[in-house]
Amino acid sequence: MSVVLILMICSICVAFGFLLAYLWSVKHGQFEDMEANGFRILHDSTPSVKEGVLTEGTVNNK
Amino acid sequence: MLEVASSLSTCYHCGAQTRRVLRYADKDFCCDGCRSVYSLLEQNQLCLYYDLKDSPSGNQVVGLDVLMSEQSHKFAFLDNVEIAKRLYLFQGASEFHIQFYLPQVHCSSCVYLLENLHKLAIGVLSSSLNFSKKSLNVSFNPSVTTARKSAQFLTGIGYEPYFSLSDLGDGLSSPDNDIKSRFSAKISGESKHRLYRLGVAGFAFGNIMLLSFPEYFNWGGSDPDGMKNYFVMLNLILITPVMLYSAQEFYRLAWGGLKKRYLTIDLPIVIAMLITFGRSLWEVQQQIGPGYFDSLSGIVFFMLLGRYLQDQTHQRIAFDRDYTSYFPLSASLWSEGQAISVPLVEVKKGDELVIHNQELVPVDGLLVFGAAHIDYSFVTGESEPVNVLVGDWIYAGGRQLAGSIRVVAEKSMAQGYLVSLWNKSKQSKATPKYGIENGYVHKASQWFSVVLFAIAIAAAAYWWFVDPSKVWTAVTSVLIVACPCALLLSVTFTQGHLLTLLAKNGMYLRGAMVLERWRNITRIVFDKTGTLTRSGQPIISFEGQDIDSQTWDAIGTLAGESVHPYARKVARWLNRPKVLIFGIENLVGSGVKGVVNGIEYRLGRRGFVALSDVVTEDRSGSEIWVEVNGKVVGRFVLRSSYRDGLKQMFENWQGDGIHIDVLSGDNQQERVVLESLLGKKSGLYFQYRPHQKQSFVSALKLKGEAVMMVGDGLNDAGALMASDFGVAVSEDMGYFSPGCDAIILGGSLPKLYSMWKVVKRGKRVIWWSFFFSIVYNIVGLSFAVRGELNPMIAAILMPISSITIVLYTWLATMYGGAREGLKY
Repeated sequence: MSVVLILMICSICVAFGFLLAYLWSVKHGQFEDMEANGFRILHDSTPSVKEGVLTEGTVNNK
Repeated sequence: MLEVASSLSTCYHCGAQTRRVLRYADKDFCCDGCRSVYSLLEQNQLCLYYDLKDSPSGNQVVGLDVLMSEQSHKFAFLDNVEIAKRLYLFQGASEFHIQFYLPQVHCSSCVYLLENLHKLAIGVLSSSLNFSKKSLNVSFNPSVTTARKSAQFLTGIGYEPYFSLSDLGDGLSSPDNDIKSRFSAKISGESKHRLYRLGVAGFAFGNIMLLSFPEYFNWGGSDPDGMKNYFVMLNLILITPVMLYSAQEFYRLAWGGLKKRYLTIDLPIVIAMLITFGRSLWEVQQQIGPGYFDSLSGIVFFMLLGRYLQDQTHQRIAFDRDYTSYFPLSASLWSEGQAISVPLVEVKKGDELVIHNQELVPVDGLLVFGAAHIDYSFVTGESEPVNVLVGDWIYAGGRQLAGSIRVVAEKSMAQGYLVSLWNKSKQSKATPKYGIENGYVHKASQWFSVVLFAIAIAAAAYWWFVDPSKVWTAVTSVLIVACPCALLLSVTFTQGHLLTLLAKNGMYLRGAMVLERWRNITRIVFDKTGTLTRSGQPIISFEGQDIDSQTWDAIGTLAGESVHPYARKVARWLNRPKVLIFGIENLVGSGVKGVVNGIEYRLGRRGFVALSDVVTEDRSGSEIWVEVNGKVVGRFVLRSSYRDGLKQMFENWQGDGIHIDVLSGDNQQERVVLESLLGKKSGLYFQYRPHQKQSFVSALKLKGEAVMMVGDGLNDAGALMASDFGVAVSEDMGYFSPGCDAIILGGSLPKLYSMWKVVKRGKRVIWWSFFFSIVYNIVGLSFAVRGELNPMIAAILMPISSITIVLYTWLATMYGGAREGLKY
């Protein structure tokens, strides 16, 4: 088996990693608000935004 | 530390121009509210806010101390358990989450300030802002603070949360509610899936291209290790998710069209895709060639990209709002001498309601207490506020402009005039306007499909008699080459670029499907109030004798004490330092009087002042007479101010042979001005009621005209709905506008003609790019048939043709926009 094939498989695996990173970022809403992050980077100290850390309680699914 | 400066200075916090200056820490402030917000930010070392701020915010700062006191009635409904329960996103033992909609959010300093809320407001744990949606998620500790206090705090620093009945979701509002909630999870889920599909297709496309490269170079002449097969297998693995997952949208649309016996453009595309895939599989299995996986994945990727671009939703704009987003969440019920907050839907006949200054009347009822001065402009289109006497009817949808009143409800919210108006216009939607459409694209694709299948059948028949073994090859070749992908790409990308171009210039379309109807309009109907005129910004002038500075001060102060909104506008226009007035008396429906330095001043209508010796043109309703010491000195005249650039726009339309009509809910007093704007040819119609506007548009349509209606308020809702293309004019995207095909910002209205021109030319862009790609395909095919085309070049040319379409449509749209003076 040629080394090219191994390299090819490696490169696809790396690319697949980037695909997963992209899917993850979509899932976590990074594409929902394209403007705010550009502003946030200007701030010296970013505020602590708790995400997904929910204590026990009822979620209102409207 | 109040100083009166001789010149105007700028408030350090809000950027407002002011003559009265409050100095604090060497900085000028316009009011106590701004000063208190500044000191709060300073204490918490958040003054970076002022460095980030790129423009004056113009946010009305109310002042923290005022709002934090319990007397403030605003947001009292947030203390109501029933209402609050529906607004919370999450309720825990030590943490509540609520979402506020803040229309004032506009710059980076807003993000900074609002996400540092936990440093400013006690009990707030964290906050995160979605800039596109202008919504702020706040989590707070319910044992320390409440939602109401948080809302009041936000108002205090200049971000007043906006609540409407539709925020409560389906449960509490009307039964036939089909609106999408502003924070609809479904929409965002849909666009997420599209992004997933796009990502998967892009990933597969890139890798398949890479793996196909050796094939393009024919493996350098030899393939000693037999790598070919491995690469093809990898391609096959990569294409599978594209066919099974990314292309789902096309299958669904094609099948949906088929079920409705409707030939969509997706059907020939799906057929071509499946045949390409099938033939590739066959070739791979027979070891004839590598298949067409590269082109297939590329086409799917670009088509998804085009659709994504075209369907990008403008998240901050909701087109399908109904009246529930116009109504407030709650009403203040007057019981035993005090106001308590109840959900609006629970208001019954016979309840006595308090309506404060600037609040909306939520139900039809009778006035029982107070001076009602109601602005019905949104409902009826009349710009003049109406005085209502105790015992008279007040209709829902009007806005109280002067002080608090009390009203006894005679109908529940759902039976009111405003709601019936809405429902009527909804029923009148005789022809389904929002079905599957897209006019010529649809026609072209049908024509295309028929020709395509005819050629395929003809080719099959020919080869059946000549050489039956070639039938399969011939048919698949025709179908693959003639895939209408190029048409779809031209259409989606051009429309996507057009929508982006329009949005950048302040016009937001419901979707790409309305472009076609806009292109074909033959007649335009404009509403006057709020559309051609700027709402709430009259041009004020004074006609009369010369008056000395002291008298001006007195008049300015007295005007500021009036409850009449016009007098207040005059006071703001005069912007005089305040003087001491005695014996101020507001006579509702007449005027205001007061004594300064022993001299009596009177401001008010014609009959209120001693107007015997002056005879002038009567402009009642938009004039305020001034009387000093028993003598009339002059009058203020308020004219509605027209937007700039209208005349040029009208001339351009008329130059294109499009007839313009103007409908107004007002009386004839503006006729002369309108005639100078429009010329004599146009139709001017006055005192038109909402249903008359609607039947006017319907009558035009019966005559075979394609009507564009431009209007603003609910009074135009029926006409907008009846028209072929309805444009709602809005001063602020965040607020309610009636159902329509497009929303345009008030300031962008004069650009409407240029936008229309660009959209009209868009059709040409589509046809040219389609034409190019067809020629391209035919030339490529003819070479390929004769075996003269190097496979490497052929394979590279395929994706390049897609990219060419993308580039061409983008450049052409940009050029078209620039020619009309639109920015991209």
